Amino acid sequence: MSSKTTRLAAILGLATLALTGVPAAARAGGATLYELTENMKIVTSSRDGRTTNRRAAMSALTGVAAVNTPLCPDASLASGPAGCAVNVTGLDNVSLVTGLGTLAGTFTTVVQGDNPVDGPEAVVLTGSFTGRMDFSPAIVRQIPYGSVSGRVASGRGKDTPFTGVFRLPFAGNVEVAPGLKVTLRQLFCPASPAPNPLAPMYGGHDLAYLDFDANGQPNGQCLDIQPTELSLGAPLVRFDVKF
Amino acid sequence: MASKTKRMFATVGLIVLAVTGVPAAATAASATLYELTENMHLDNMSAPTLRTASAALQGTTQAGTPICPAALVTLLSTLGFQTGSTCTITAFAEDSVSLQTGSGAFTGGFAVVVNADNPVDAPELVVMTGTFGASMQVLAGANGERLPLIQITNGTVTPTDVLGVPIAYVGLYFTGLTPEMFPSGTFGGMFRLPFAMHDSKKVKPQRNTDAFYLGDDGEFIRIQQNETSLGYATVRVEIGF
Repeated sequence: MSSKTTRLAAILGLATLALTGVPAAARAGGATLYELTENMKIVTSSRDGRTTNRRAAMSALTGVAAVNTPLCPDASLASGPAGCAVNVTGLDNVSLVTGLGTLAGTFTTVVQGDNPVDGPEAVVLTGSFTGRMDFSPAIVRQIPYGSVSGRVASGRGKDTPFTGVFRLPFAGNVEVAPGLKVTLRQLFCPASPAPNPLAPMYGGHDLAYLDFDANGQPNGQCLDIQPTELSLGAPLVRFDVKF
Repeated sequence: MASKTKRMFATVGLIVLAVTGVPAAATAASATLYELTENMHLDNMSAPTLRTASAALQGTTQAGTPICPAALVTLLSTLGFQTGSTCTITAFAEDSVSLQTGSGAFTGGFAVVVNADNPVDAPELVVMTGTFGASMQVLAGANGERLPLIQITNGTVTPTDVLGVPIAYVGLYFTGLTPEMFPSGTFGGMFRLPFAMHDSKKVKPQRNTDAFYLGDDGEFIRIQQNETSLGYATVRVEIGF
């Protein structure tokens, strides 16, 4: 991971952007959230003479959930045609050896309150969730995604199971390793070889997420990251949830 | 300023942003943060008197401030982290404001974060944490109308640990460091709430608007693309120590 991580360290100078993207929308029957902040610590523990490292983090996420899902049970709570605006505070704890771990957190469904220009803020529904994470693709195999399964409970209704995938952003124009004339896009997205057309606006960085087949496996295509998927000029981890 | 203010409150307008952004950074203020999520409650929906909220923020601060001490930057450099003249800050805060007087207060915790396992997204590894609190007052114009400005006064900030080590013990873990290198500090500042204009017509607000902050002298400050989050303009928090 270190060499790839080093290569990914082509820090993004996201200047001269123009906002021409399309609003992020929730997938049918699901939700699309973005990780806006993350506070992460490496926790080392010893047991029976063995030392293990775990990655523990707390994150703030926001996004949109489709109507008739646990995060948006009623169309009257929707902030727009895409569905309900949702804020999430999440905690996760993942082994750096296996990539397996847990997550938990709370969510709020919000509508526009006293300032319609910024994001919705008035809380109309709250709930919580727990689940298990498999980040072995990212941590063990250096493929930028991880999966989740769990249950979510809201103030309206019973527990509902969910599955999800975290898509980690990457710069497709970065070489896999120094001297290897293979880029991350060539490695991860052979079925969509054209770089993100917005790359010139991203300082030349071909920002992308992996795409997946019906079984949740990478399908060789990538999704171009849109300007409305950035926060403060930086790309975000995207969390797609299905109920 | 009064006419500008009247225009400002007359409408909320929406135009696609065509922006030539500059990287978000601490500029005139010592720190600049942006409110990325907010969860707000009113005490009484029919006749509210108190507005409470919690928020997640992120931004940058200049090195040499209480939330980015020079000793921390030196330590990070020694440990091999990429450092510069600024630190990236995340914060979680809670506030309470009277809707009658516009006065209130906020408290919270902050973290200094650096890039670790995915440098493509924002920094995430916590290298210092602390707490803060301050008073706040919604400002009013000459005619008594509320402005999209909230003044911050009587702020205090206190670092609590460095790389998990309580400040009182940093000298035991990091050669050359002393607790005095991570002092508490005082601060003041301003929340700048975004607003939009569209001729004098009222239109339904949405994302990707041509949005502004109000400057201290009544000037309109166009919001840059990298001051938005998922297409939304954000509340900007300017802090001076």
